[in-house]
Amino acid sequence: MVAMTPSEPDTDASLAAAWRAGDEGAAAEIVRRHAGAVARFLYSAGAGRSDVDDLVQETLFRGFRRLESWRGEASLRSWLCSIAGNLLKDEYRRGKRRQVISIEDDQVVDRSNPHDEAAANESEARLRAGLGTLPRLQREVFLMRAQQECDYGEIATALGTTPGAARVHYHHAVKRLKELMA
Amino acid sequence: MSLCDAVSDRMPLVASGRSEWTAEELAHLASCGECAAEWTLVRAASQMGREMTVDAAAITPMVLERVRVAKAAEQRHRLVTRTAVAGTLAVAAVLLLVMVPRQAGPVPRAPNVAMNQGELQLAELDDAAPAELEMVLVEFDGPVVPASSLDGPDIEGLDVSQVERALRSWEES
Repeated sequence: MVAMTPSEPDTDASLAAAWRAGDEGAAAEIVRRHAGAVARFLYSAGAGRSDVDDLVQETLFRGFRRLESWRGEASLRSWLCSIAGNLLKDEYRRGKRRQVISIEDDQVVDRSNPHDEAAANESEARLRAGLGTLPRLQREVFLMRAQQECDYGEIATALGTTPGAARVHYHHAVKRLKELMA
Repeated sequence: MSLCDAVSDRMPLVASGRSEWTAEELAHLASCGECAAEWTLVRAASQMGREMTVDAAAITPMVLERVRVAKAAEQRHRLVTRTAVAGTLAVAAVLLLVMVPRQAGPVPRAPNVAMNQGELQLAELDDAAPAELEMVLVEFDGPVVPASSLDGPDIEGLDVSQVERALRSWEES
């Protein structure tokens, strides 16, 4: 078992190695670091708010089961986001969760500041609706880039494409979203 | 790289609050409508779902328990598969042992037929009387299969219709 020392800033790779060696504390740290980002990704990609918890759990479950296949070429976060994207696709195909990719304005949370927050809510709702109309790859590339701050190389590795193609998908997504939000 | 590309590449970092626009970039955003529109999108995407919270402490044990259960099931499945394969192989081996006839002793050797200078020695003819040897020779000299040929003397006496009948009968046979 690999011992985790709290003073060292562990990389995702070292946490993954520690988990593989049987350290459950490392697994807890991985969840703490990435569960929130995966939840935001899933919600932004069209998952219903009430489904997000279950989908995050399923994403992490699949991730931990396949962690041996993560070789650190893509960041762990982008790798988990790609699993989440596949999960959403599976759910949508199975039709078990019809609310997936169904964007509802009333799902947007109220924030305390009336004017700015109302505008932000409206903007978010429109963006979410717009994302729902994009092809899957464009949507995922856009979210990985704009929301998860992944670079094109990471995105390409996680989604099985090239950095150049990822950049093109991003620009197509931006162009389409601009049209939808104009 | 154009200033538009450079600004675009930095948008996620600035939107997350981990960096700030330079004066030059701010001036570009103010003058370039395309970049300003992209910046609005990136900022909105960056903020989207910020309020979503995940109880990592609660999720972790559930996820790990599921992984444990799944791995145990996988190991059981592997064990069952290996046992089934090993059992099948054992049964096949037993069946082979039972069904293949065993040889009681060494394989009998063929009689040693010596070939010497083109002569074939046949031991069963050693005790044959001259008359018997003569009969054997006559048998050897005769045709193996009684055959008839088109140029045989008997075909010359046939008329056309007889020849045709004969040909038909050969074709049919």
